[in-house]
Order: sequence, then structure tokens, then C-alpha cells
Amino acid sequence: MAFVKTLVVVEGHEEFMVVEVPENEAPSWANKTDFDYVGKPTPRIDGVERITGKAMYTADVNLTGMLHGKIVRSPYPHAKVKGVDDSEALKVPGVIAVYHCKNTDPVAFEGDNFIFNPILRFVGDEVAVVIAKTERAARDGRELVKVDYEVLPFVVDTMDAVKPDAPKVQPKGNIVKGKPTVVTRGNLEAGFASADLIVEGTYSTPVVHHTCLETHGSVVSWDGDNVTVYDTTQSMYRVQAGFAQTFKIPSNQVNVICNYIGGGFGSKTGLGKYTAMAGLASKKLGRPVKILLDRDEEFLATGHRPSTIQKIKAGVKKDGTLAALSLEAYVPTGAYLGRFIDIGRPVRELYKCENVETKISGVYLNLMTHCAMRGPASSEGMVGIECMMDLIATKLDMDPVELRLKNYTDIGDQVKNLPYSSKGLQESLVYGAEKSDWKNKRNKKPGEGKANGNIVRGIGVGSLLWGAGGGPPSSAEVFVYPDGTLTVRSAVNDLGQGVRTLAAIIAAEELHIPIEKISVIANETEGSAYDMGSFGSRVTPSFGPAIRNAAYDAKMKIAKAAAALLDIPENEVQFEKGVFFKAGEKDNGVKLEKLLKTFNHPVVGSGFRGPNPPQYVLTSFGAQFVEVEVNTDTGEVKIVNLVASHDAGRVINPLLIESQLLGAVALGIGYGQYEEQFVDPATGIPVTVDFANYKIPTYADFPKVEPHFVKQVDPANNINAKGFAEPPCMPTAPAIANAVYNAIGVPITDLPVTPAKVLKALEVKRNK
Amino acid sequence: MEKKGTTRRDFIKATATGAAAVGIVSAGAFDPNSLEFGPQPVIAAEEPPKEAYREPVYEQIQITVNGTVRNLLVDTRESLAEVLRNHLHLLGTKVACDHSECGACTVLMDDTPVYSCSTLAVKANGHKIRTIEGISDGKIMHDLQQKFFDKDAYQCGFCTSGQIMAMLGFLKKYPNASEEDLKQSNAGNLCRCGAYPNIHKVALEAAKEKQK
Repeated sequence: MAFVKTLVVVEGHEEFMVVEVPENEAPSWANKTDFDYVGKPTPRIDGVERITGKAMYTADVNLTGMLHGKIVRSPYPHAKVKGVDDSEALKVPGVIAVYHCKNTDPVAFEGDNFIFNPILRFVGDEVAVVIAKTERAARDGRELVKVDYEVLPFVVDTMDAVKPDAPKVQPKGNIVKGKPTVVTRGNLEAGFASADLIVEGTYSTPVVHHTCLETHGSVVSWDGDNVTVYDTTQSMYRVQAGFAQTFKIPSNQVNVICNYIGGGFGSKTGLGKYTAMAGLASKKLGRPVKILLDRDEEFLATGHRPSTIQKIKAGVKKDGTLAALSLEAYVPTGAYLGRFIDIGRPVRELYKCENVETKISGVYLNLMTHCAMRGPASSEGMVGIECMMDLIATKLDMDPVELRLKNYTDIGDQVKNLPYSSKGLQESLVYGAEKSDWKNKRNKKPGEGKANGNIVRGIGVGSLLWGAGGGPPSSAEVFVYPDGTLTVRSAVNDLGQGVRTLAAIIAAEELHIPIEKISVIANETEGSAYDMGSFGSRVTPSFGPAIRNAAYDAKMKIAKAAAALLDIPENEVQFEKGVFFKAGEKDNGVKLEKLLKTFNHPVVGSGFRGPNPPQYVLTSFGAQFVEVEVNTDTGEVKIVNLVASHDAGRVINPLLIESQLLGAVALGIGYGQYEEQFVDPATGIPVTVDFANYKIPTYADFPKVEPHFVKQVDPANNINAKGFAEPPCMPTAPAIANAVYNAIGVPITDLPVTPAKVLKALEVKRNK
Repeated sequence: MEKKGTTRRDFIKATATGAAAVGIVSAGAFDPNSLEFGPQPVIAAEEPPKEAYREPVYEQIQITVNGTVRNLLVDTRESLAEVLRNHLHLLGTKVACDHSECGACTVLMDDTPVYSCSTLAVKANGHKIRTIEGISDGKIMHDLQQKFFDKDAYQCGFCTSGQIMAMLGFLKKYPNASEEDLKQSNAGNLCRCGAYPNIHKVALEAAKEKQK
């Protein structure tokens, strides 16, 4: 078996890995035009369970003898735990134990971050866990744990934290690695010198939260040396690895189960502290332990999209071409080092420019550590550059769409120096402009449209690029039974994006077995093929080809039996619409159903995702056009229409991909208009810890959205599809900001675009 | 109260490691051998704690749930959601905020949508409750559920029970709702997956059929 080095880009991280080349790689569907299942709108195969209340989420797991845990959290942004008095808590009837750093061995969670840190670095940091017979008793006990804190100085403002005299969040200082990370190409100075015009802008984006409806939590149950972990997670195998590492046990003793998950959005991609605590408590007590977070804990301690401060400087020629681009950014990582600080990809890659520099400082703050959130780092980065493009367009008196097309990179990925496998950005911009009536709706000069009473209108555009090619590792097994039914088995999480349905469609297409006869088991690690997890828009382009390979493998095995039955060499067997035949003799073929009956065991096909093709890189593109009405008396912004045009390669399930688009746009609207974490500067306490104060879009807020998919067959994988979970939430916020700019004539450079900010901008405009 | 054998305090002391570090902790080695297994620790409280803790008060209630009369002894602090989930094991009703801010826990009380997380169980005494489990016969889904299925008006499914019950209640109360009215039918039910447009499509179609 051949091994090759391949590039995998997931969540903005590029990794080279050495992987096997599958011997059973299914031939690409690139030239296939006749599909029976792929491309047809298919309702979810696990839909009935979700709709009838039968789906069991982690919150619904109940085991015999199960205990409940509730976590005591730091009320201070920075403090030392001097002592923990759990005596009162232990007196509450039903409370069985309290664990904290003073009565447990330190359990390392990640690097120098422990389950119970003796030094607490943010409001919400875990101090203790109370274990009781009922959730109520655990909560009562939690109220009574007395902690002796030594309060330390704190910092929660990014620009305060970079000052030399700022309180230290981490002993080594507040700038990650001590200095900014710089990525340069070309000659920035020369580039700016050659420009006809220099345009500068500073943009800021807030901390926003995932707000999964199902809160984080786990149920852990030991049976001797073996442990079962029920966890609401996007990656069962990652939880398995994290748990095994934390407790120093072999992975194969850990079974992670997740049947259904109520939202993840990037916040549930690995081991959680609550899982480790449940593991610790259940081992000590010899009983299963369930720990579920409350809603306020979700806002305090489950990660978030980090805020950013972005200073962009662009040097442009009179004709609109970019001569130089620089980004200086500050991204607060939180109390510990997270992995999504590099927001520079859009600046480095979206528009053609030879002279580019991104200089990004990660900053420690006394806040929870950030984590991935749908389109991490690049969603933040998209805001700055896309708003800057509209500013440049105004200064050059150019159409913002024309400006973007002027700086189009049809040469490919100018960073990796590789062509894109396909790029549907131009089509998206052109289609979107037409569908939204851009030419007529756009105020040629921002703010100079005709007002209708106190309503002014405008339209704005935002575009995106995102790594959506996935890659190994991902694998699946397919069991084809003598009775003609089929089961796909792999430990991959269906978050509600329709992974199980994707698996069924692909297996159905490959073997011509109807979807009603297919079941997909994707619930636990035990006995299941490996998949890295559901994040980074990786499932369709990673798991899809893996299932195909598994189904193809099964088909080839059955083909051997066909060859024997038809008395022909194996390489002369063809398969079409459920029939095996010799080329040219379709009428003398043998049906799959009949062949299967000759087996007295299931035919097992096994497949895995091979390397990414080295000659190009798969990237997702798209553009959204947002038309708004702004009320100049109240500052309210109403989205009148939103056209979203994207490239997703081959659309496997048009019903579900549209849901994915609409859902992602909702998230983008929240980012653009409503959502913002607010931290009280005097105490370091986040005050947006409930849905009343942290406003996510509701059913009543949803505008008209017109989705569109560029017709595309991507050559980079054998199902010709791109990942699509994240791209559609990425252009929305900048498009909204640009639309409001077009409507009122003043750019809003600080997300979210709230009524207060609109009114302030209008006041500034009046005073000029 | 006389106690024989190990008290909880002794048990905890025996398993605790007194030498937990203050300040810097060096590479934490988790030693499974330091854990004690063995018998269940004695649980009874030595004396009731002083301040915040108060003995629970129980009350008998009778509620009709999905057509069946239930007689239950509940803690007066318990919410209807807790009773449905913990006493009756009807797990289809979800608790997502416990604060009457998201609607995931919506059930029908006498045909009116209520947030069960913020309805005291004792307040439900004498009333008829319908949950997601009570609208299909277990084999065939309710028409509304079928529409949710066909129009893909859900994704992760966690808010879905609440969405369906809210819509049912709304359509029952406002059978002649206009398209404009229907923009509010599920305004009290948050969905982070963003299935709103398809939920709205279901509402429009269901209302149209009702109005025929």
C-alpha cells in the first residue's frame, strides 16, 4: 500500500500528514450525469426521532444509580484558591461528595490548565464540583461551598492588556509568544510607495457565543477498567483520546457514545472539563455521574468566538488594483492559548495582491479561553477586509462588486501557489448582483439615496473564502446483508447537518439499494470506524468519499460472486441500476438482490478517505447581497432581502444543504446585528449570561433569503463536493455593515451594527 | 443521631490527598491507585446546615398528561418540566435555559403553550398537559410533525418539540391567523441552527389547510 504526504486544511489550520492511498478508491463521479439518489431532496433518515421527541440527547441519559454534579465557579476574574470549606455543602441531604483542588490529585487537562486550577483566571473558572443524588441537591450544595479566595488584579480589555504595566494573566506576560506573528510576502514598502491612494480603517468585532440549545455535559460510568462516556460532542473519537490521556488509560477502554447532539457550532470538539470531572467523581464513587451545565455556565465557560481589533491599510492604484495590504490585529485568546487567533487568511488570500503583511498579536485576558466557532478566525477576518473594500470603492468612486472582480485571483491560491480545484466566486458575485438588483438598488454614493420619510435604503455585499476540502482521517464500514439491507457504521457525529442521511444517499447510489433499506449507525466509538469529527466543514468532503470507498469495496466483493455466476473474468463485470452483467449483455445479468442471497454472511466493505490531490487545493467561495432599510429616527436596521450565492461543488442533498445555508445566515445575522458579550470593566464579570441580555436572532427577525448554488463539479474528491457547514455564515455580517454604510453614508466599523451605533454615526454625519 | 462505621467526613479525608499544592502545580500525574473504591459512603446528614438550606415541602397533585390522569407527590419547588422529565420520564420536552427565555420546554396546558421550566408543577394541578409524546400515536406522526419532516423544519432537533407544541397551540387559538400573524407563531422559540424559514413554511401551510 502506498503512503503519501498530503495537505489537509481544517478550521484554518494547515497540516501535512502521511496517509495511505486506498487500494479501493471509488472512481470519481466527475463524468457521471445519471444519479438515482444523489442530488435528490431527501428528508433525514433520523428525522422521525428528532421530531417525535424520541431522540435521546446526553441530557436525557439516565443510568441506574446515577448521581448528579454541579460545578462551583470562580466569581473573580483572577484569584488564588487558598482554601475550600465544603462542610456545609456536605450536610445537604443527598450531597455525597465535593471535589476540588484541595482534596484531589491535580488532573492535567491541557498543558498547564488543570481540571481544578489553583489559580483561577476568569469568572467561571472551575473551582469545585458537588456530587449529589439529585440535581436539586447538587445545586443546593453548590450554594453552600465556601471558598477562600485571594483576589488578584485582573485585565479584561484587550488594549489595556498589551500595556507594559498591565496585570499578568499568564506569568510569561500577556502577549502570546511574546510578540506578534508576522506573515509577509513581496515588498510592503514598495507596494505602498507605488500606490495612488492609501486607505486606512480600524474595525472591531465582539466576542460572540455558540448558544447551543443543548448545554454541555456528560454522563460517565465505569465498569471495572472500562468506562462509558456519554457526551454531547462533535467528535466522539477526540473525546475518547482526551479522556484516555487525562486518566492515563488505553483508548480501547473508553467508549464514547453520542446518539444526538443539540448543537455544537465548534464548542464541542474535544474533552470538556465537566467530562473529566464526571470521570473523576464516578471512579471515586463507583456510580455513574452526570454533569450538565446550566445556561449561564454556557456563556461563561464553554468557549466563544474571540473579539478582534483590526487595523487595515490598503494601497490602491487609480484603477482599483491593490498594490499593498497590511493587517495589524489584536485577538484576545482568553486565559489560555487557543488555536484560532490567526485571522489573517482573508487579507492574505481573498484578493490578488503581491505585497501583503499580516501582523497578529494574541493577547491573554482574564476571560474564558476562546475556541472554534463556525468559520473560526476567517469569519472575523472577513469583516475587516470586506468593509475595507467598500471604503476603497467609495474613495475611488467605483462599484464595490467591480472592485472585487478587479482584484480577482483566478490564478489560484496565491499563498500556497496552487490552483483552486474550482472557484465559484465570480459566478456568485455576478449572480448575486443580478438577483438582488444591485445596479438599481445601490446608492452610487453611500448615503445619497432618496429617503422615504425616516427610512433610507441601501445594499451591501460580502464575500468569502474558506478551506472546505476536508481530508483524512475518515473511514467507514458498510455491511450488505443477504436480505438486501445495508448498514453503514462509523463514529461520526450527525449534528443535525444530515451526516447519517449523507451516508445513506451515497451508499444507496453506489449499490443501488433504496434508502429505506439503509440504516446508519454513527453513535459510539466502540466497534466503529474512525472519523476525526464533525467540524471545519470537513464531513461531506472527508466522510463522503470514505463511505463511497466502503460501499465500492463491498460492491467489488459482490462482483466477484457475479463473475463466478456469470462465468466471466472479474474485470469484465459491470454494474448498473442494481444489475451485474457482462459488457454488452445487460439482459443476461444477475440482480444484486439475488446475488446477496447466495451469501450466508454480510458482505463487509471497508473504506477510508485517501490523500488530497497534490495539484490543487479545495476552497469554498460565495457572496451575499443584503438590502436594508434603516430608520434614521430609531437607528433600527431591517434586512429587506438577502441573496446568498455559494459554491458547494456537487450538491448531494438539496433539501438539507438549503437548511444549512439558511441556518448559517441566521448566525451571520446575529454576528452582524445583535450579538455581543459585555463584560463589566469594574469587576471583570460578563453580564451577558442569559438569552434576555445576549440576543440571538428569533423566528420573528428572519428576513427573506434567496439561496443559490453555483453549478459545479469539483475534481478534488470522488464525490465532487465541498464542505458547506461554515461558508454561508461568513459573508453575512460584513454584507450587513456594508449595506448600512450604503444606506446612511457613514461606515460602521464596530460590530454589531446596533441602532445606537447607527444613530451615533448619523449624528457624526450631521455635525460634519 | 448515633452513627456507626465511617462518617462521610472520614471517608472524604481518607481519599483526599492532604498535600495538594498551592500555587504552581507541577506536571499532574493522575495515579489511579490513589482512588478508593469500596462501599458507598454513609449519606445521612449529621445535622441540617444552617443558612440557605431549607427542608423540601411536598404536595400531592393530579395532572392529566397526554390523556392519562397522574397522581404525583412533588416538591413544591419542582417545575412542570422537571416533573415531566424526572417523574414521568417523558424526555421529549427539553430544558435549555430554565429561565423562560428560549421556549425549548414548551408544552400545552389546556391547549395553551406554556414554558414548562417556569411553570410550577403545583400550579399545573388539575390541568391537562400535552407533550410532544402525546400528539402522535407512536406509529403515525401528527400532521404537523409530518410537515416538519417534509419541509426539513429542524436540524439538531433540540428545540423541535417546543417549536411543534408552540405552533400547535398557536394554530388552535388563532385558526384564522393571517400571514402577518404567523410571523409570530413561534417567536417565543429560539433555534440556533436557524431552521426558522422552514418552520415558517410549515406554519403557513398548516394555517392554510386549517382555513380551507
